[in-house]
Amino acid sequence: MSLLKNLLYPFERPAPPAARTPMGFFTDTTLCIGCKACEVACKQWNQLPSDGFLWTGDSYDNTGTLSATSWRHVAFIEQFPDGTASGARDGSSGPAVLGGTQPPSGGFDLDALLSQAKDGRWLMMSDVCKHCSAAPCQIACPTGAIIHNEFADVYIQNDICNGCGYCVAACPFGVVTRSAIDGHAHKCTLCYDRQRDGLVPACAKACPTESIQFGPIGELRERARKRIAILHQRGETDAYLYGDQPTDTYPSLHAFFLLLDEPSRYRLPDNPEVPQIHLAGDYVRAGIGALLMFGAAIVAMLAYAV
Amino acid sequence: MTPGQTPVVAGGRTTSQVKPPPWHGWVVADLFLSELSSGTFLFAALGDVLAPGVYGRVSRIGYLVAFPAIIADLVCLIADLGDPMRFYHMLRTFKLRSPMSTGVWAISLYAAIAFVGFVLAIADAPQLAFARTLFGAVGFFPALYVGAYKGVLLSATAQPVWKDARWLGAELSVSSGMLGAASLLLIAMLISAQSAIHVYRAVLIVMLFLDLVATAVFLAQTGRAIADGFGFARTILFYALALGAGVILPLIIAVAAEEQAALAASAVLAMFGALAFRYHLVMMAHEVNA
Repeated sequence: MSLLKNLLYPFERPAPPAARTPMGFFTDTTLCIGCKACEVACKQWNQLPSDGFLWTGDSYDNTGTLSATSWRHVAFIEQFPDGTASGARDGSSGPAVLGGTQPPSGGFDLDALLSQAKDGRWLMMSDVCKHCSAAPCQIACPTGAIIHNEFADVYIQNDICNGCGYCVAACPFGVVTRSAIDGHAHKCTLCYDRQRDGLVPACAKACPTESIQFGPIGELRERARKRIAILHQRGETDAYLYGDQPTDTYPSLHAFFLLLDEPSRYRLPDNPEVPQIHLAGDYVRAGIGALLMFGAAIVAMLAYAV
Repeated sequence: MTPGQTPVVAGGRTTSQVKPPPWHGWVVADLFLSELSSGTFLFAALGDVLAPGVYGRVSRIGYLVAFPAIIADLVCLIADLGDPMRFYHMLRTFKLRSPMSTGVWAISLYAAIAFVGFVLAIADAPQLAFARTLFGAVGFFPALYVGAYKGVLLSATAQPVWKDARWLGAELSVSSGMLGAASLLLIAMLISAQSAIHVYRAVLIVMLFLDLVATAVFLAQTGRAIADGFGFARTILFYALALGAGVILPLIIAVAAEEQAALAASAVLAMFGALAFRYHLVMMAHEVNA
């Protein structure tokens, strides 16, 4: 009986919880200091295993990418004119100097150093699942394991997922990953368990600079627009919001970002596209191919058989 | 510093924005076996419907090949899952916008029909001939769908190459027909069904020509991305195996040669080319993303 129950329970469809206020993340990358507290808090709360103590060898970013065991990833985008951000990189010893300029003998000239600060910079962004309002992974999922929960966030039901991997192929942000441990797809749940108990997601709770902000989507968008206005007023006119509004090819994101450079600099797609956007046309073209093949075979078989 | 004026990005691994799906050899085998099965079934059924006197014997063996091939395909599909014991979760929902969901249902329906064809072919009783023809005709649409949907499935992803291949469904559909023609030609030769051999040769020529056109369309849309991702040597290998040895050479042989050995070589080469194309197609996701 127990075996039968286990086999059949995935087919049970209890009524979903009543919809609640859509919640999400607003990540202000201008406030991120790269402390990785979000990564640690996420791993701790969700009991995610270590990824190993590995060095990428070309960045302070040693997490590398979002994965089945890293649901937050602080990307370090190191922008310097000649690749000499650190002494180690160009083989020289001594303290690192922005812009690769050597300090004058006898010590640092603070004014000179500050005046050169624009020669280079680090962009830091705590990346996460974008919780797309119409998510390609959710559309693709053939088992129905991926759903939008009552907070309108994208959630993978781990007891339903069978690890087919189609969601991995469908995600234009490279978020969803199949675990080598249990064979199922995993990603940020937006701390669904904490949300249900009225708590803030672990990463947002741990963020010391409020770079990661959690709340109702409408409020976050309003807050983000105000932040943009402030930054523009201060002269940071490159600041803009990524994913707060839908585009012609992609829906709005429930985890959206304030960026200072092109999206691709942050390894985000410049113009994301819902992969299923061409689906009807693809089916029509496949049908044309199938009918052409079938029709040609009928003609050939009839012509030669008589 | 404004967008476009940013200096060289130093440090930080330049990883791809998308992740390749965890699909490897099992999926290559799946792409090959499902389309070998559906193509073989389709033309076996077509032979039964059009001229059972000419094609009946070959069609019978075709059914005996199609069902085991689709069972082997299902084994590959299940083995490829991260959690194979949950394979049946695929059947807990039906999603029109998910080609994998519709494909699973189509394969299930097709496998059931192929099973009936298999049983009727084993029985091989004259009084069951009409039933075999009927089930063959019923299987036309599921077999066509099984041959076509995987191209759509791959196109509806965010993966480089695949996402630009708008005619991949048509390409794989034509390729499944080519596989069916090649397999039935080999069967006709094995059982010395002389009247059927020259017909399946003609069908194979037509299918190879269509495959050549479809592959050219695929490469026109994706050739640059393939070359960028694979690099020069690998791209040459891909073209040589999947296009040269797998389509052009068997087409030339099938058109020019009259000897059965040459025709058999043409059919085998065509099958080999289809396998090579599918291998590269799956691996593109990994290597172009790398």
